Amino acid sequence: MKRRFSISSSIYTVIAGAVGVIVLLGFFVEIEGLHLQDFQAILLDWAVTIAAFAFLLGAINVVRVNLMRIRQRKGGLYSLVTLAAMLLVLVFGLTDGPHSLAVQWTFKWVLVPLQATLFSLMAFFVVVAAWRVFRLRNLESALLLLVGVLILVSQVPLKFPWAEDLAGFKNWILAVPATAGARGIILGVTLGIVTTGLRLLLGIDRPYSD
Amino acid sequence: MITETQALVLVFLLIFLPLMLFFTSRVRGGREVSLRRIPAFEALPSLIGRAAESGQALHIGLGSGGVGGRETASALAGLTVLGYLADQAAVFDCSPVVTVADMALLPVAQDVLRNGYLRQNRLRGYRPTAVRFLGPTPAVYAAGVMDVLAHEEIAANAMVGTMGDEYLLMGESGAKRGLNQIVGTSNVETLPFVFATADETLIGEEIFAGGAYLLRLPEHIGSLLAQDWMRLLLVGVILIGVLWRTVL
Repeated sequence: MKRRFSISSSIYTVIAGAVGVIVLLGFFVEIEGLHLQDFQAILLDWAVTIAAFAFLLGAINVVRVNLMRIRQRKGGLYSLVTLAAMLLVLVFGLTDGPHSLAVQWTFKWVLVPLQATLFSLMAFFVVVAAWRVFRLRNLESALLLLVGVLILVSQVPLKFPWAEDLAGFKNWILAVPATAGARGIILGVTLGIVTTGLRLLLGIDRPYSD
Repeated sequence: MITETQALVLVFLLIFLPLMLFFTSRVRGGREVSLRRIPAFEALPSLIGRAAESGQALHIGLGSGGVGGRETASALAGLTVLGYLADQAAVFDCSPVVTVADMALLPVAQDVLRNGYLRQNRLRGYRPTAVRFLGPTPAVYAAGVMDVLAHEEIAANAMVGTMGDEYLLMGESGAKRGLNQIVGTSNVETLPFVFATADETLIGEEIFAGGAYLLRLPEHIGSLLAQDWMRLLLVGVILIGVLWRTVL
């Protein structure tokens, strides 16, 4: 994939790179008279303000996508409910403010219970996922099954002769191999994040233009 | 006065940056680099093929994170995969459904998708509504993706980005329907769920290697090599630290 040169994309790259360098320098350097931290704070404030405009784009997108679904009669009823709910909350929010009784009621008695319901399904989904992943296919899955079963058994509050040994085994699995693996992944992710940041600063990655 | 943490980060960057530039220049100079296999990246083109053959859409999820926060790097990794799939979708005339959970990510994703169609001179095939903002919270996003995967004409599912526990709800919906799924996330806690539901997984840092594997960009390959060297350096430092503490 070759990048085409354009003046506009070069301007974006220079602006993005310069802003990135200033924010980064503000983290490292403290020069008297040159208030980099203040400048950094201003730039971050601007970013927040600009991001706030994205709310409008998000709302427009929701309306467009749901209108399209209504026109195509693909789950049109749900889209209609979505748009009606969106409009209602918007009207209440604009007339009485975001802390009005109606808006708070909607969040407390509609959104929060719905989210809780959705997450309560997780228990069943975990069982189904475990059923699939614990199938014996190869040596790795056999090991996974064995360790999984042992850890599950160690959580059972029953007293049997080797319960303490099993609890010790569980603690060792969680503290040593599992933590070592997780830390290895986190270390790799950190390196990946640094690399991505540097590529952005250098203008190599340009998600904002082409 | 520079603090200890700042000094460490500075030293890290001062080693990393020249390494990255050095390897990039070597790759640009034509030096052959063999990258280890990542099956998930190898399988990505087959998702488009499957979607094109069946005449159905390909779902591309960018996760519940966005740009501007801690999840920015993961979101950018998702955008790299989206850029590649956008090119392929334009070539094979396959319509993607892209879902996002961050309003700031929405225009960026639309731009990346549009550029894919533009590069292939198929701009007429681009629809802005192909990118959908589903909701700003993980639960709402998951509910939206569950609906897309369960009820729309979707042939395959690719998801790369930040995903928490809510991924299981989405992944299971896809798995239940028998969709071919490729999923990558940097969230360690979510990886077991990904492993349980997806056909191919991108584990942790692998999501950031999309540019090197899919687009073969010299800068990305160079930075990947620098990353590997930094990892070796860190392993060395850890080993020296362990020996130091053990012996002294």
